[in-house]
Amino acid sequence: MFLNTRLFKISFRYFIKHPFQTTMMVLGIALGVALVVSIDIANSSVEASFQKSTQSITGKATHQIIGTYQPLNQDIYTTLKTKLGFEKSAPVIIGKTEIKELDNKPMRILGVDPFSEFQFRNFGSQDQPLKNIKSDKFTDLILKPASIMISENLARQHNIKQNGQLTLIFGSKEVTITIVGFITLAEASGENDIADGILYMDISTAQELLNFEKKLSYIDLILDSDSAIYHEIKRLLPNGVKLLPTAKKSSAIREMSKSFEFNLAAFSLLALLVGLFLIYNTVTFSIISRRHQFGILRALGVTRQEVFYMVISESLFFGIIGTFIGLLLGIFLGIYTVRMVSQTVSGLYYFLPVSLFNISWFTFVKGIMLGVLVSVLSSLVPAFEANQSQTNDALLHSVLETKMNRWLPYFSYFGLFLNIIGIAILCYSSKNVPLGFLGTAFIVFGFAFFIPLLTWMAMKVFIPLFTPVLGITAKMALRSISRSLSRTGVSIAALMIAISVYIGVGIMINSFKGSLNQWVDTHLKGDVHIASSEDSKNFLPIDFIKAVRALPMVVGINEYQLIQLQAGPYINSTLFIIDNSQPSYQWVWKKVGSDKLRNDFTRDTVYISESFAWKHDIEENINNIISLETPKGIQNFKVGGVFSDFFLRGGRIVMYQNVFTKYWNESRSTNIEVYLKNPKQASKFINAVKAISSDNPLLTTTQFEIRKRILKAFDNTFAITVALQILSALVAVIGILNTIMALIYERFREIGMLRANGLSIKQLWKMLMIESGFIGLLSGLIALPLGLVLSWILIAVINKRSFGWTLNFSLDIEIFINAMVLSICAALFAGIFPAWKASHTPIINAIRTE
Amino acid sequence: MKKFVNIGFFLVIISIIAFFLFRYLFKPAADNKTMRIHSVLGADKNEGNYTKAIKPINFRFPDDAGPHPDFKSEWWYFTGNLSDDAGAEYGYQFTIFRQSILDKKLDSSSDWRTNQVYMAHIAVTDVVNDKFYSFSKMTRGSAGLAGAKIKPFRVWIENWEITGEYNHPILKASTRDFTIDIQLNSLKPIVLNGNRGLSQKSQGIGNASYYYSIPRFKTKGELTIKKRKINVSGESWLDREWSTSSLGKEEVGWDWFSIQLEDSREVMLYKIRKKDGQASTLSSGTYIKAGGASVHLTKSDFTLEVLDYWQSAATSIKYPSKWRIKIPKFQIDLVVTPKINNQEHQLQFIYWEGTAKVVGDNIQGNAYVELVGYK
Repeated sequence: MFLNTRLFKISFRYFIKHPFQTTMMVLGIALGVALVVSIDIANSSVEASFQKSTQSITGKATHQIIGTYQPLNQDIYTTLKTKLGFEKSAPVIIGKTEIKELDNKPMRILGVDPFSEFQFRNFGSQDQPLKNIKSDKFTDLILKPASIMISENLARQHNIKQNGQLTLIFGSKEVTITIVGFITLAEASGENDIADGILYMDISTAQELLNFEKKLSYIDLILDSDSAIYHEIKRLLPNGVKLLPTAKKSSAIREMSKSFEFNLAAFSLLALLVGLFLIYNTVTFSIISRRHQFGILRALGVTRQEVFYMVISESLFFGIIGTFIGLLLGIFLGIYTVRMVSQTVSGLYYFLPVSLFNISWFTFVKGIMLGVLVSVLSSLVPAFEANQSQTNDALLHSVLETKMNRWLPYFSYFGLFLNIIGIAILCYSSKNVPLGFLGTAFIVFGFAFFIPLLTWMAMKVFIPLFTPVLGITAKMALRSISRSLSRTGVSIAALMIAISVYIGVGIMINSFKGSLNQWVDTHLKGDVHIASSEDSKNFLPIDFIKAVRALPMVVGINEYQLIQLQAGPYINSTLFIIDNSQPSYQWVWKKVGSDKLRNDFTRDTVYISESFAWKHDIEENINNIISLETPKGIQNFKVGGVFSDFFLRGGRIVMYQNVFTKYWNESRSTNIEVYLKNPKQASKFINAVKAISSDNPLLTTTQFEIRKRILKAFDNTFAITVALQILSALVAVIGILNTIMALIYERFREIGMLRANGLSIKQLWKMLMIESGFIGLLSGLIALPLGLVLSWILIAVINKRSFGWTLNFSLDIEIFINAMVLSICAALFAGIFPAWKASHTPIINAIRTE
Repeated sequence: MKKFVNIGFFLVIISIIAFFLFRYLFKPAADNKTMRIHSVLGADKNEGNYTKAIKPINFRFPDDAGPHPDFKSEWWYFTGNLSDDAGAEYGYQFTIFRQSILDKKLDSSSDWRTNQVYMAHIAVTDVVNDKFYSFSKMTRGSAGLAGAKIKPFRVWIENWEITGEYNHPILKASTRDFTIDIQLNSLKPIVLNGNRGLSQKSQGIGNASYYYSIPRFKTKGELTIKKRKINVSGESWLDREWSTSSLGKEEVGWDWFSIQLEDSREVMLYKIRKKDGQASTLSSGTYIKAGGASVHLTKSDFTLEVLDYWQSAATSIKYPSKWRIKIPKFQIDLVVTPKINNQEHQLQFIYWEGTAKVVGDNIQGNAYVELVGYK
């Protein structure tokens, strides 16, 4: 390349002799790359799991007939076949269950008609319609109740044999099923087969198990949108039943978790940027400690350019090593992040029946590019500094500091400039999440450029303030901070950014939890909740509700209906139909129409959650109208108000039961919440419900359990955020360690002189510790306002844009205290090793050159 | 080897149905498919609790026009010779099969659960253009997708259906290449084949079917071939048969003829071919007089001489393609020639079924011929 081997050997020897610095540098880049890579692996794994499992279920279907509000009436399929004779169509029932014997492993139920299957899913070809299936008694699948096929891979892993039995859990109901065959889908990935999360069964079995009589989830079709039959089929469908391209449906589902994944990726990049500071510090330190050497090299005729390239090549070399370690570490971390992210996506957004571990080449390319780029970028300034090396090297640092002082105002102007750009980006990027993060990055970095000025100003205040208390050593320590701004500035900036991220994310999480708790409190009223099934696709029998109402321990019941919209402009949003006799839901209104409207049940009014409003741009105008296709045709509904909500999956539309009944002619409920005389009797009540529910696979949950589940689901999300937070703090600590070492190394002779002039070891320690401590203090102090700003941006911009949530800003003084303690302790900790080294250096060595 | 045992369900169903029609379509142990079929359909198979055709019964109508789910299999078999206004000839086959895959009815809250499977083959022969089109369907006999009902009379599989009345049926079907929409009116009373409708197919009690025919319907309606609408008229034949077991180990296939002579007489006869190439002694037929009275024919009553062969280019199977049929008792001496050679069904299983011309001394007629079990 641009470096001759001899020079490379020289610099290489330095790094061999300084294993600690070398390790730090490599570690810094490795950690940053590892985070980016592991998050990227998690996101691409979710993508792969989603695509593969969707594909294994969708098969070759190009379109689906699907009911917007309710499962399909199976007659639609019969008509399709008997009236149109459309061959390339297949009925599908999907559902969810858990296998008791496999630690309640969640499974996707796929009920199909084997007679129509070979054209659709990968069971085989027309010649060998079920060549992917192994079964001795395949006819049992359609003849015998509870006969099921699973993937051959899953069977092998758990030693499940043909005719083996398993227990499926459907809420309160447990069903013993028999394995009648095994399926292998070719596209296996590692130890997984994409069929692993699926229970294949005949459509009749699915109807029996899920209480799905006369209903289908959807009908798969293979057709051309231009064909005559497409329009014939469309004409056949009643209102509210849609013919949709499968891609449209699956991309709408996939879209739901994209914001979440993007947020993770953005946080991982942040960690890498903190890593950038670390390398900058390390390289700078290595240059400072070799200034003498560079002087000699220059004197021997090495050109400036060669010195410059020498430094760049060094960081490139170690950057590449770090990057590769980072890649390996990232893959290792990926095992954890994939699990966490898949769990969160499965819990909060949509069910992933398989969790594949997918690494794309692009992830590696990204990781390598970022690692190399960051290492080169971060060594540019130090390399420039090195090529300025004169034979008279002693001058250099002071020259640099003089320049620094001259540049101070310009640094701040530049910071201001960055801030203005950042604010402008935030203001003018409307709903764009990536631009939101970009704007945030500008603001954070802009802030960093204020550091030299702020430090200089702070020392002006601190020195007179603390000198009387802490003595002359303190004065010396503080002076040295403001005297070496080119070093301390970067270091304080790095620590400050890490601490402000800690604060910002902390406040965000805190606000989120507060808002979530408030939401749970106001929305979870009943003591026990009963759902017809996991996805609320069935109605609760009227007799059952009557029987529950009649139980002596029950005070009251609220009935409601949950409908996840399957098509139309509001696909994946939830229509929430509530009892008009119970207007007592305590909505937290964000924007409210007139009170009269809000309490008028007779009008065609709906209320929408803010995430729904955000997604569909309804927020700005409260007297908006939304159109829903009802069985009686397209109907407009007035938006009566926008309420705060953490209900995921595309937000909510709330409608009163009488309005729903008027257009949908349906007054049954899918869910009830039950108020008990004594809430402590919940488990007794659940047993009583089991006794009267007979064969219904009900899902009974106490308020306590729901609360726990909701909070746990979100905790999972935050676990990753917190991990990122901690890792970026770690990177910052390593950075500060390097800086302080650099600072002390540069003052080696100075310290030697001081020691020779009678500075005791104790005093030396005190001086260095005060210096480190104040670096920490200062970083922490400056991080407080930035952290606050950051948290505000995260809450009001990033969260709002990503999820449509408005969080109540909740300040917790503890976060600030923690941040200060973290900051100071990190700096103090970082000062220990350099101080120890300085105090153990014989005076004579330090002042030999004087 | 384990892999070989695991052939798909479709093959099993198809082969269960095929069993009655095509018992020895494959040579034993010739390939994987055959192994599977024989493991399921072996001679020692358990016939379960299905009703068997053991002794003659009193046929009752319209009930016996409907399904007999107690028996393992059953079919409604229409064939016919039609012509358009210009005299161009067409043949059609419209067949719906019913098959029980379990010997008891299944109780379920799901409308889809059933032990009944339906399959259909329909075909149209365009004689002038030398074209043959054939299609099949198979589906479960539940959820309204396929079934058979007496009141109102309807036998259907998806959008292929037989409606109207059992002796005045309407046949409707549409496929990618053609549609059939024809109305049939019986010209002859019901004919019971074999011994008062009990048709012994191989040695052993119960290896028989109940078998009746309506040998001549006046037929009128519309065919659409490749979007060309054609008004057609002509005559049709119905075979109805239900059974639980019929052919034995030794039988490999059969040649079946339904002949409608221009003087209102009809002949149905079939030769059951054995492994050794000989005709089974149970090969038989029915001679129907112009007035409708019928006479059972045994093997010794007729001779069937093959005059020519035709080899399918698609499957390389060699079929007989010209016959001389003699029934000395009734002074019948006819030469039967397919109107076009290629009327081979190349569906899940392969057989030849098609329209044929009949020529005798001073007499002519039309026929439908079915050739099963050729390799």
